[in-house]
Amino acid sequence: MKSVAKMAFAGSLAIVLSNLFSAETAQAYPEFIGYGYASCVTCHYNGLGGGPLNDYGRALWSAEIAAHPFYAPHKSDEEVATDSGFLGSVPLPYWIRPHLKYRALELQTNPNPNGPQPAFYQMQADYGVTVAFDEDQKYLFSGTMGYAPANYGSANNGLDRFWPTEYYFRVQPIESWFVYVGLLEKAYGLRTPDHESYQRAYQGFQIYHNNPAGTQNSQSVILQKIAEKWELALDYFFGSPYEDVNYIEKGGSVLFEFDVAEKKRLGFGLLSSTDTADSKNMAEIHYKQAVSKGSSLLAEYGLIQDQFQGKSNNTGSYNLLELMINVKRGYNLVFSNERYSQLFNPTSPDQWRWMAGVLMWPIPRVEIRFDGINGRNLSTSGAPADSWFLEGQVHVSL
Amino acid sequence: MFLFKRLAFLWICFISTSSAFAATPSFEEAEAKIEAESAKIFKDDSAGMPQRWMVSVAYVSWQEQMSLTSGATSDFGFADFSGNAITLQRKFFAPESHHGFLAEGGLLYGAMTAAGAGGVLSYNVSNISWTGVEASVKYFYRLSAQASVAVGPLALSRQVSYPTVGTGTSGTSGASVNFGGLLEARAFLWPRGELILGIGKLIQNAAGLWSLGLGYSF
Repeated sequence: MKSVAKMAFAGSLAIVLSNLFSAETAQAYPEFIGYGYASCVTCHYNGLGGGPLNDYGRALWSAEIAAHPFYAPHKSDEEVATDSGFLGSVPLPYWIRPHLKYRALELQTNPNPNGPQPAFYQMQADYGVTVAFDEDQKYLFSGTMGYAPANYGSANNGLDRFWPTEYYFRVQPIESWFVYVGLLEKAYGLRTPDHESYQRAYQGFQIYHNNPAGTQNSQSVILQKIAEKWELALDYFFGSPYEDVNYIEKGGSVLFEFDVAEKKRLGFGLLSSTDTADSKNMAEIHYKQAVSKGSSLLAEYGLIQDQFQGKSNNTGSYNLLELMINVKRGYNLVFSNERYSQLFNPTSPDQWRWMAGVLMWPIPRVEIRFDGINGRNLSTSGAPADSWFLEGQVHVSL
Repeated sequence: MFLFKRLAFLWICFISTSSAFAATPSFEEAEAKIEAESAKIFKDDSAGMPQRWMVSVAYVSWQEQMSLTSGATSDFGFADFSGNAITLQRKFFAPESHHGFLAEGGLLYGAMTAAGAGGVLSYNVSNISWTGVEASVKYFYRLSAQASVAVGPLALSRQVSYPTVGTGTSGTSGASVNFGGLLEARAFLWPRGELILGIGKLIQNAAGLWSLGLGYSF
């Protein structure tokens, strides 16, 4: 029993830690439907979200999302937006847009006087550039190189591994149609910014390589149609070149979203992938809705079928429910609950994770998060001790 | 329980979307309805503090620390409680203001799993029914007509019987009457329907307490 409890705790901790270190250049925020932005292409060069922000996204972040207490009161949002470029208000040629991102985390596990000391983690230091080949940006290239910890999950580590995080060519052959070719995040589900989420951890979106569950980015060809009230993405992927041959995932996915009403969007996703370690088939339904300005609701429910090499099929399920409440401009409360069960039957343990936190953009280009997380495994076969985590994160983007 | 949790989640999804399919109002129209409902609270009031009733159903879970004994030997473990709460709430709004307080009482029921932590005594029971009552008073602050945050103390009383297993290992956990606090994020997704996510802690030999509920205001 003791070993089972320890394994359960260690498993939970490993999952939490492993997902703290996913390296993205910039997170996508489906929560921004609370501001009326249902589509990612409004703010990101990658129309599926994540990666560097385009000029509009930078301006929006500065002028509408982030607080700006240090600007003169008479300065308008439009004037603040003009300062959102890589060099502030200094304009760059239309064809080049550099970007930088740094993220760090302080984590306290099971806080109590006799508990472990807090640990500091550097998660990411990325830089990259987006090059447009024409003024309308119908043809562009975006590339991001990143320093990340070589040894994921170890505290107080350095950013000692250097690799390409993401790169792709984007072509817009016809208005509202986009083609992406390169190393890209697979198209599936809500791209939430919380990397600990059970909504991403088991679905094959791990950042560290050679992971049996699958890695986030894969060489892909993605075709995306973005209409006014719906979006469709078809993704054919064939693995990351930075993984061992046994972990090269090949497969495809489909992601479809449509407006059921203004600022209410329903979506579905399917993904199938195969490598020599695991075959994975997944299906999900998700929903996002604005609650009031800046506040939003996210929900996702999905099924995951895994067949690890030499083992029988496991079909599990997961769900996410998140409520983000805007307190004032730049300051938000985030409550969420997530569940994952490896087997889709009543006797399989349910891993739960409940979180309450604060998400802040106190000034443009800076994100600060404080989260309290309670993890619990509900099972008929045991009752391991709850796990608690307190974490603070700082993200700086240029 | 398994079925209930999944049905509850699907119900939330269905209600969220079906209301949108049914009427497909613009966001502004939907927002205006919620704000009108909110404003009506104050219009209806003729005697000081405006008030509203709300009934809610919620999924709840908490963990208690457990004491195990077998003869002169003692050990420890944990008990996971999960189940449902049906509550009646009365909200009191400070006139023409953004805040107020609510008083809440509820009936709870569910199932419990208890197990030793792997020490000298082995103990593992599951699907043990429990019932309970709870009372709570919370201060709430409305950040908009739709969204609010509530925080306050709660008292929880639950009844459960711990079976004796094996060669006479018996257990008890937490406290039959316990106290704690809960922090809630609340959002009106429809004019009268409020989603409530809560996270908190019980004080006596217990740990995290969660709740996920839907309320109907009248």
